[in-house]
Amino acid sequence: LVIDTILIKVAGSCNLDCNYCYVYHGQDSGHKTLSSIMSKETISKVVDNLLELAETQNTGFAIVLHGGEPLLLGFEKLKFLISSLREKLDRDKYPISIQTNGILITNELLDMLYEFQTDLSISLDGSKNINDIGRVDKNGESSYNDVMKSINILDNHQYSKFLFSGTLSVIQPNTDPSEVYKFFKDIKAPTISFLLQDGNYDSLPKYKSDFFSTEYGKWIIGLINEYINDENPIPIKFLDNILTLAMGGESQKEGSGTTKFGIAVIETDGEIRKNDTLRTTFDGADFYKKRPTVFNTSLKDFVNSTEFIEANSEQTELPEECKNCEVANICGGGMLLTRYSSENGFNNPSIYCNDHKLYINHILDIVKNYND
Amino acid sequence: MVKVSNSAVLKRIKAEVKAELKSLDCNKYDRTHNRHNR
Repeated sequence: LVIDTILIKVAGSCNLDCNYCYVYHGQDSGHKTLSSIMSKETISKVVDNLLELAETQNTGFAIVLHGGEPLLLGFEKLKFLISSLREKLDRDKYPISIQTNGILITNELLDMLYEFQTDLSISLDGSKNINDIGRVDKNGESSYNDVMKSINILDNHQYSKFLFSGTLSVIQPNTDPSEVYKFFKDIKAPTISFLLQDGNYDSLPKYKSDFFSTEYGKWIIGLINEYINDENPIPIKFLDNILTLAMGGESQKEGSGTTKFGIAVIETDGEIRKNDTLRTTFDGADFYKKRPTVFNTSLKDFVNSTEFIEANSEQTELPEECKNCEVANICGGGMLLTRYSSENGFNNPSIYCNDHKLYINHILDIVKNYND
Repeated sequence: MVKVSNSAVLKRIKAEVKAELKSLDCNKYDRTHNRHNR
């Protein structure tokens, strides 16, 4: 199994308290006991493990710094981590990126990130009224002005074209998708992507009334129409992925398509975990049995273990009910976390099944009518 | 109303899919590559 993405959770804490956060508002209680930031000792072991993995795997892998809020790691430790990786790993084969709320961005930080060829994706849901629905601080106050100040610093940096890779938003289905798309065009985001809100059969996603409802599917159709008709569009990564699949190409993202790939997650304390998004299902859902860490286990050996391969295959194995579905090769059964019920485990269609069908069929119609 | 015939998005994706199928390269690593959905 080719390791495609390594997610390093360099900070276990966050300077915001977004109400939909899968780390702090999911089913998992682990965040209460985790170290707030990764220690230098753990960083060194993570680096050793990744360099060893790079030596044994021919294809490259993406390295994503995540949290919590990864910039809470602090300038010096961050520099130590990415400079140690960049010493041996080139930027084309091993892209390093940081998924951040952006609040701690400074010019000094951007200079350092550019030096070690590390880019930033900013979490932002839209204009102030839309962003304020979910993205608030620990006092429930808006984070919008702070993030926009940071985006301004990023935009004005001499290497912003490299440093600013795009934005990542959580869909608020009670908003106007055209307004959201236009907002990101106005702030000149180089790429944008969207996430469905987390949820499953035991705990429905916010604003979704039941399994059959299509609040999110309708919102996505609104976005698709805006996007397809735009003469000068900014790439919407998750839609590009679905369009690529609809035109016969390969998926580049988990939660769509049937391509097999491996994702390894390293926690702030150095524990190697399953996909961290599973934390939205039940407490301990992302634990491997022996609770391996970078201190007692070699990542290059662990990724070849049966347990790792089985855990990663779960995403691309279709639930029984999906096997005869005509769009299953595109939705890929949806994100694993959205298939969960305490009754059947992960052997259910995604809770978003009807949303997926609605917008995928819309995309298939568009592709069918497109003759170039 | 969706006007698909001149869509810039569809034109780009179609060209990318053609290039991908030609190169048989399923491991595209553009610098924003990241399969993890977060």
